[in-house]
Amino acid sequence: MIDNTFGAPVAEKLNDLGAVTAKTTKEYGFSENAHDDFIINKLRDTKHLLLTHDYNTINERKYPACSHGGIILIMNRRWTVETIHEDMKAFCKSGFRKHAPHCVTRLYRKKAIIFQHENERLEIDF
Amino acid sequence: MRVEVIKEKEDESSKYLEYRKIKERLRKYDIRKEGGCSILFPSFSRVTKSPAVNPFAWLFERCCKEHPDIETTPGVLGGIPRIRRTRLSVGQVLGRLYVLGSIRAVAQYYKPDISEEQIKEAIAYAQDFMEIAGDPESSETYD
Repeated sequence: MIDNTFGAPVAEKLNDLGAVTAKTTKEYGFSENAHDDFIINKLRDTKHLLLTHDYNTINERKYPACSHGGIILIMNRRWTVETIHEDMKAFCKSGFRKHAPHCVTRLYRKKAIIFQHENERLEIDF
Repeated sequence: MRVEVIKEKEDESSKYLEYRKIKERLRKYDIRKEGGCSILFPSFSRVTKSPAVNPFAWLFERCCKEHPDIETTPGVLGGIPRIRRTRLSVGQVLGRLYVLGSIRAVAQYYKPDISEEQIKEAIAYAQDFMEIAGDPESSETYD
């Protein structure tokens, strides 16, 4: 599930990866100004992962692992559709994507940090 | 009606006084070492009426009064300023502008969710925020 911040262009590009099926929150029927809690709670029910950039407000401190379907935070402040595609591709190829469900993943340009149950950190370099 | 206006002004000035106290404390402490604002400034939640994590919440609200297309809602993007009826923060719009290079390109990217006018409003909001935050004692900008 792609947050509104990224919009449809990111969802379209990520679908090219083949390994993921990406849709925007709008396509999933959320209103354009849906509350954070509402979206996160829905993740638990629908078993989707949320891809967002709002790391100041949606993060492992506010939404600890195991309390939702999974969150991937794009940490690149000056992201483009291409950089997100590259980062996600690298993450999928790393083989650690299977750890992302129910956890909070901070995705940087060349590494990822996965916050797991009880805030255990798993650091991966691509 | 008049009483309400005066009361609002008093609230505003008390927030401002609190802000000045906070500024003094910030000079003395490194909040990153101390574990965040909530430890140093337990009164934030009372002053800003929001969780004690954002010392600038009052300034967000103050700037929103002049920019009706920008709003803050506790619970949506953690209460940071965003374009009305969207999940697009002002900061995000500026980031997109940096990357894409023009207001038109940003509007095109988020079409049909936001208009060029709303993007301009976000830029103006950011300008006001920076100027007031940089010089909160200026009566010209504060009053």
